[in-house]
Amino acid sequence: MLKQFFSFNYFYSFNFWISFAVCILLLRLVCRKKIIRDFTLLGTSILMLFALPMFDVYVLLFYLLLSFFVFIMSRYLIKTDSRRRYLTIFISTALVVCVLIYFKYSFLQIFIKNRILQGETIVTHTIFIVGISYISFKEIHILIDSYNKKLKELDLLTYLNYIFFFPSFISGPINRYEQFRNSYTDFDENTIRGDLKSGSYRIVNGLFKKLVLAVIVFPYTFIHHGSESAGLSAGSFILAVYAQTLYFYFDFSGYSDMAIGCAQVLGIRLPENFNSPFTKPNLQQLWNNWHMSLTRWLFDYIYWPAVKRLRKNAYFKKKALLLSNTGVLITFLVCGIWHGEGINFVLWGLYHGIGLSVLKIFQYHIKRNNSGVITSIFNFRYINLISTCITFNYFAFGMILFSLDLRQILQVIVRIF
Amino acid sequence: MYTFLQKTFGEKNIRIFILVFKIFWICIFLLDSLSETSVEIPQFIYVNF
Repeated sequence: MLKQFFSFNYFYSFNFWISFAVCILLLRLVCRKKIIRDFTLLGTSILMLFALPMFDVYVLLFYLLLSFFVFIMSRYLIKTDSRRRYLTIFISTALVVCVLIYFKYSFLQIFIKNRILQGETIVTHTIFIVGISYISFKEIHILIDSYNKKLKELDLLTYLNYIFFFPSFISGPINRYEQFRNSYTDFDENTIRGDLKSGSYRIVNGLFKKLVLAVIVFPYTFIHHGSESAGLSAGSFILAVYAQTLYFYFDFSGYSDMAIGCAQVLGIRLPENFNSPFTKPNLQQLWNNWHMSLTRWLFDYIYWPAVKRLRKNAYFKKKALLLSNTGVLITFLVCGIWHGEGINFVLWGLYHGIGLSVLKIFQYHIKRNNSGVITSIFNFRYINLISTCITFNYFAFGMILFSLDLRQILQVIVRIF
Repeated sequence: MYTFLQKTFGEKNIRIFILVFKIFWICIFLLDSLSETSVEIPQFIYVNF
């Protein structure tokens, strides 16, 4: 019976809210001393994670091992200035990335189990660990910031609380260690009322998006149509494109609202993840306001390192625009590959990389040839509305690549022509 | 629109009205999800990423 009660969907099942109420009571009213609160937060976080369907003792042990490994390496990187630092960051980051790749891509798991390990029976099932992506993002951030000396100190208990903090464990928002530590240390008892009020408002907002708006658009999405998506009539197909885009927004921003709200009720601030992305007039601004914590992570740990490395090349040194666009393409290619294992995700990443590159080239030429005609066009009253509409449509039609596999996409292309 | 409503009815009243509106529809959709003909609430998309 206990097992039945303690197995639930995060944020929209009744049992979750009962368990969450107990967490609030323990953390905000009972535990006054910091050390007790630290241990209580860690304990409640781990207990809440056990309610997830794919989380068991082995997963916890695995995550603890990985976290301790990263902790030791990061402490070493913070404290030492020796030449081994480069080797340490390389090995430890490579290990975290390999773990992420192994558990994320089922074809790789099957290949390793059948071809490399070569057991007697052919393995077809794969292991998926919940939260592996977001835990890896946090670990990579800790390692690289320790290497760059952006992190000055790392406290074990705060670090474990940062990694296992349950509202943001499954799908973010991807907060930074310093940010978490600051809001966690400023845990003020006088703000309970304000936190409860604004946190609850945020939770209601998230529930409304997830339980009302997402449910309204769901029957028209590609997810609902499944394998029949490619065979839809032109009208239904276009409707599905918009419905799918809105569904993704309501589902994920609803989730983010609930995660941010729950964290706020517990006294911890999480970064924003969405800021009205569909009202932005260009693709760059849309991406700066859509899944913001991931976009920031990608730019900090993929884009800038790639650009810095490319800048050393004499060819790229003189061509700033090409350098920036190559960085954008690499970043969005990684973003696409991370989202899934099909070729369609690679194409989706490239689609947005190319879109942003074209925008950058366009902006560059507008700036250079600042003629009266172009200025008058951009002063046109409705230009913002038109560009917002074009941006939204570009993003929405990219959802075809995201939602349908390559075979279905080819079927659609054949039907059009 | 929101600014107009804020000016006419006051920010606090509008916030309460929106909150009640949202809670009302959450309850309606939750009750609807109990019926056999309703569309099942799907799992969060990003859980699988």
